[in-house]
Amino acid sequence: MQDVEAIAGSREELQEYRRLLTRDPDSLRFAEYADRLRRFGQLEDALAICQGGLARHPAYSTGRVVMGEILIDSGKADEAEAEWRRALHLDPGHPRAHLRLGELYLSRGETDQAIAAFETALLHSPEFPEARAKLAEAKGPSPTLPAGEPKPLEDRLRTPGERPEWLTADRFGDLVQCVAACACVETAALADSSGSPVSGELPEMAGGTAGEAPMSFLVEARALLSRLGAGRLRSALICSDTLSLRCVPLGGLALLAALRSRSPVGEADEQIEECIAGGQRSEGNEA
Amino acid sequence: MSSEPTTKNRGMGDTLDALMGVPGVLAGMVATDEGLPLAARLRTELDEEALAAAAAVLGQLGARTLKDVGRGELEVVVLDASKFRFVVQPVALGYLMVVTEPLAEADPVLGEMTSAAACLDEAGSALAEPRAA
Repeated sequence: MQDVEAIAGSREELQEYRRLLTRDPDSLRFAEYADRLRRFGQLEDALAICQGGLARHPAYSTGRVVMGEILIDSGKADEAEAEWRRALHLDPGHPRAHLRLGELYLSRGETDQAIAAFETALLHSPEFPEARAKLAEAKGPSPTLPAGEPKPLEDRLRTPGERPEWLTADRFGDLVQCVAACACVETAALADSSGSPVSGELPEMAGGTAGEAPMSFLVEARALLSRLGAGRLRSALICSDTLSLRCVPLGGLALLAALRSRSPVGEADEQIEECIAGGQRSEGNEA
Repeated sequence: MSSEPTTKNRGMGDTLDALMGVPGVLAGMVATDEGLPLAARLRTELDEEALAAAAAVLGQLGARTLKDVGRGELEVVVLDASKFRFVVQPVALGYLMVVTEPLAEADPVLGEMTSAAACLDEAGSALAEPRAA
């Protein structure tokens, strides 16, 4: 319950916004005004202000985000999602749009997509406490450490969502060896979400943590697919004249395989998929 | 695109038509570096503008990743998603993108895209000539 002074202060603030928009109907601050009205629960007024503002500034991405927030508070989840997607079409790095889409995915039980959205929000705005908190919520609570502390690798790999169930720590080596032994593959490694290898050897690459750039690619690729409504990311291939790198996300881990020069892509994929399927089958047999 | 007024643009359209003949191909597109569509052939529910933006984002992401690891210039990026496969190749005008069914054979598509990229680069150079003169 808000106290009387806070409500009175906020009402003055609302009046100030109203005066400002009366003086300057083209002001972009319609979005702040609509957002304040929404927080006060005045959803109809918020909607009218935001619609009016967006009619003048249809390409204002923050206005689209606020419109989505009004719609979700009004129980119109599909329309809200469409507004946030429009915002990202206008500004692909808008952290709040990624955050709101992530929350929506989380509410639908689409945890992988939610995690990708929160990670993308943090990629564009690393000091975004709301996105950080939601990411921690989506990934599940740590059984051993307080929230916010980085978990040791062994703990993280036991956490659902960090890796598929079949990929237990004792199978990392087998999977990497199987992939590295494929005729089309030069080197293979399993990397954690920071890009550090947890098993195997990454191809020779520059940079502090060699796997960091491919992992960052996967995070952004997931977000892109989510915006396009193209489904779950199964794998990615990045080729230059000196490197063909196959990246297969496995929960929070990724299998990174450098393909031999001029290897047929289809054949390499089949070989790598066979290794992954073999790991899944062995888990089934043990069960 | 519905209107393609120049001979060069018809050349771009012909190149995309040839790509659309490869089994499993659902869309072909040329987009600028800024993510604007130059020419497109679509047989999917995907939005043309969104696809063009995605082509530029994917191309730039791939190029940045290779730059970060110091391993050469981007030749091609492939994203395999559960509903589609996206293949992006840089060309002189921006990016060539093909969308296929998720389980379409990759190598014939990649081979045809290399030929298409060469045609587009030729058309791109020809387009640039009058400006240079």
